[in-house]
Amino acid sequence: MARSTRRDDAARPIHNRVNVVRAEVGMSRAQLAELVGVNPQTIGALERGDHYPSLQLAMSICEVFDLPIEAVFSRTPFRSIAASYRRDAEVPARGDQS
Amino acid sequence: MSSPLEVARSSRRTVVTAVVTGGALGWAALAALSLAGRANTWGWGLALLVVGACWFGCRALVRDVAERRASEVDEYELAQRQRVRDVGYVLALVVALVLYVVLSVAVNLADGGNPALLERAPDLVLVGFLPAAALPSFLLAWQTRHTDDEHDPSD
Repeated sequence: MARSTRRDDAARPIHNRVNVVRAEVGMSRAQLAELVGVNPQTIGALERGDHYPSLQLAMSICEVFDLPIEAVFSRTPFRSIAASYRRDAEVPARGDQS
Repeated sequence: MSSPLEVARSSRRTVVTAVVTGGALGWAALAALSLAGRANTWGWGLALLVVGACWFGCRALVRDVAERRASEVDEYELAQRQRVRDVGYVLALVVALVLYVVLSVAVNLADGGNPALLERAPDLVLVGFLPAAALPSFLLAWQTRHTDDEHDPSD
């Protein structure tokens, strides 16, 4: 039972947009790493998706940006800003046709 | 034209490849010379020096993550270190088993009046110990040869 649960967890990725929120406030990896008490390489690995953070680290990162955890981490991929613009652009076009 | 980040990554890859290959070749030479009974020659000493230098080179390249105390690494480094240490542990078990067999044979040969292999036992133990001790650092350096977080473009 426990074994299958672990396998399920390994198959389900945790997506994050730490790099997006970090870039938004103009913070470097080193600065964020210092604030949450890890090495800058750990932030890099997290952003690349090479490492899934512990709950402790995930909550520390969210505290730095003053965001709820679901704004930064998700089981489903985050929609890119470019994709949201494309969809928004399609809506008036459809409206024009009807 | 290559970006500075690409150049840094490429140079890290080259350094890691050189250090890991140097360590492997040094160890192979050390093992061959020890088996041939040519320990304590200048070639054997040079091979030992190369292995030692490459080992410490790898430790520096991976910021000693594989061999530092657990309290001195963060959660990502701990996961990395655990992975390579698991491999090192298995290798240490294999080395111990091989040494047991070789030393058993050496003792039997010595009983039969041929102590040559038993006389080489200390050198063979050193040859077995080195990869078991150094493998985590070498393996971690090899695994992370493509990543270069030291040069963060956002910094």
